[in-house]
Amino acid sequence: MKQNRQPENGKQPVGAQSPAARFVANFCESKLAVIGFIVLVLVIMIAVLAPYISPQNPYDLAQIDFMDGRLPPGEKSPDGAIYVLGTDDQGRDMLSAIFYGLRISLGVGVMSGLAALIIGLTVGLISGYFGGRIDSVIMRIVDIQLGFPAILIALILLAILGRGVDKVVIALVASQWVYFARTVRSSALVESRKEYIEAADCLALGTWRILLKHLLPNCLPPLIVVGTVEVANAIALEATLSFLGIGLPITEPSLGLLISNGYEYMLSGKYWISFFPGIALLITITSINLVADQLREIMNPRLRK
Amino acid sequence: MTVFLIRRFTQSILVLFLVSLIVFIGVYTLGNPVKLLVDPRATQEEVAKITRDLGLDQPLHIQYATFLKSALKGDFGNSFIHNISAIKLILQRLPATFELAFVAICITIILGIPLGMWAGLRPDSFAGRGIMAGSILGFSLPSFWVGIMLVMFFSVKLGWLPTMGRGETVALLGIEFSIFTPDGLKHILLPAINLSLFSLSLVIRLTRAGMQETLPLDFVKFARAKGLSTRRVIFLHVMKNILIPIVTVLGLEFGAIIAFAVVTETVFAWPGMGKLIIDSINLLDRPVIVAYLLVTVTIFILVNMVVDILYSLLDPRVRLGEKKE
Repeated sequence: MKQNRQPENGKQPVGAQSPAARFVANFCESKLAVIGFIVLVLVIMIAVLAPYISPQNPYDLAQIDFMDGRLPPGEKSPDGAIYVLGTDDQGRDMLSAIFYGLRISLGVGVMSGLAALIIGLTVGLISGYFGGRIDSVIMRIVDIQLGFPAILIALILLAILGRGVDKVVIALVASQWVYFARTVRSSALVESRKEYIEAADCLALGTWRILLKHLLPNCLPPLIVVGTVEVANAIALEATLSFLGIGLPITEPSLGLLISNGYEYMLSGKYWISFFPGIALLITITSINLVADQLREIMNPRLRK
Repeated sequence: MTVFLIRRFTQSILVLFLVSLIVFIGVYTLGNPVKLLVDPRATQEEVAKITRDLGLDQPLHIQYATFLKSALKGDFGNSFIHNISAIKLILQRLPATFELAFVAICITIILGIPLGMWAGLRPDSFAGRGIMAGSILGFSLPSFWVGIMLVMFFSVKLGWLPTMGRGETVALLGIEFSIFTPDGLKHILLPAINLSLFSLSLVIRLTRAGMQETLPLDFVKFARAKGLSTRRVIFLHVMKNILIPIVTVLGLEFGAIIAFAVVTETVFAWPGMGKLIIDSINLLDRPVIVAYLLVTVTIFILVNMVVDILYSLLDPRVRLGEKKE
């Protein structure tokens, strides 16, 4: 008997922890997720600190030497500089270009992820809370859009709008808001039938107050998971669009553009110009996905032990 | 069923109409294609004449009405660049894209279902875990970069397979095919693998999940108890049940593959309609852009509809057109 109670005693402090501490403890259950999180933090730090930690400013013409063009990784240039990841056709240090590219890729991804979240959240809350006609109209639109892959929606919009950072963000938001709307709507639908919302309704609180103060916080957990995944998807989609030449303009060299730029040299065996930016992209997306996977695990009450 | 079809049909028409309106207004209010077409030294009168000839001096709603009238007849105008009918240009490129998509779907089915079944039967084995890890990679890797790496490894480094184009084609019923010539097969292999990776991962996961859900069910135990061989139980009884969601997803994936062909075709310079649309966007070739988008949206609507019908035919429990409240 005593031995049987042992694990229970061991578990007690877990229940007594603050929610934040429990969250951290749950998150750390998966080693892979912790690694993903550490890598992600590193990637974000590199993106933020790019101007301070890059060996050179790859877009300052005074700092790049055309004579150093297309040097393989680790080779010494005529004036003695060593480029760890090689140089591109203009003589830019690939490492610095990747650091700066990460900034743009992450920036665009996070920006459009957030914008899509806000739009999807608003639409989903309204749809789930009010129900009825509004709900069926909104959900019909969402269903129709979900029938088309995100890349096609983005393609249609970019074909119309042309290139530019703002246009890419618009295209990404337009192709991704539905995922948020659908998630929020389903949790809002469940939550708005619960007693606390009924109680708030009975107190004759304002509609917006109920939506924002009572309903919204309870719809957040699944949204955080979708948000993380969608940021990764936005980064991948932006890279794809930029690679196709219909995404960001060449003045905003994201990772996708770097890869695209290196593609023409790859056929002559100069792999590093598009290989390393791709690795950076891969690391970023995978680390975000690992974190998102574990978040889903923690926040899904059905999977929780 | 009939009610469902009618409702679905009207909805499809409405969606097509809306898309055509959005695309038309969007595409036709931006940029001036006349500048691309005329000699930079052309006089004012010449520019005005070309604008008039192309009907670009008319107000927008009249332009749209003209467009809609001819679009219903299948005429989207001539490509500004190639100077042949836009729809003809797309239909010329369509077989190449369909061929690629078809091979990609075949790879997905031939590899995906057995691998998924294997992973479902032995989830804890090394192979099972390996298959699942691979499918996660298939989801996270950006497909264009995988394509580049395939070219780099198999074409540049090893020199086994060609890097771009369709290779030798052979005409069959007036349509050019790559898969029937050895050279064409070599050309289609890498792009098709690249294109299939995402749906392959999806099918693997779906099959595995289906296997794991179905295996513990009573009818499987019963079939075993009856003394049927494992092979018969799995390939006949379990298979029948897990195939329903797989067929649905495969249908939807066919649409997604056609959309994603844009990426693969750009990487491998495959002369399909995806490559055409990217070139057209860059050259502001409006009729081709509009025609492509409408053709693709139509394909999508058709595919989605066929999938829904197939679904109800495969699974008698699903009744179309009935409200599920």
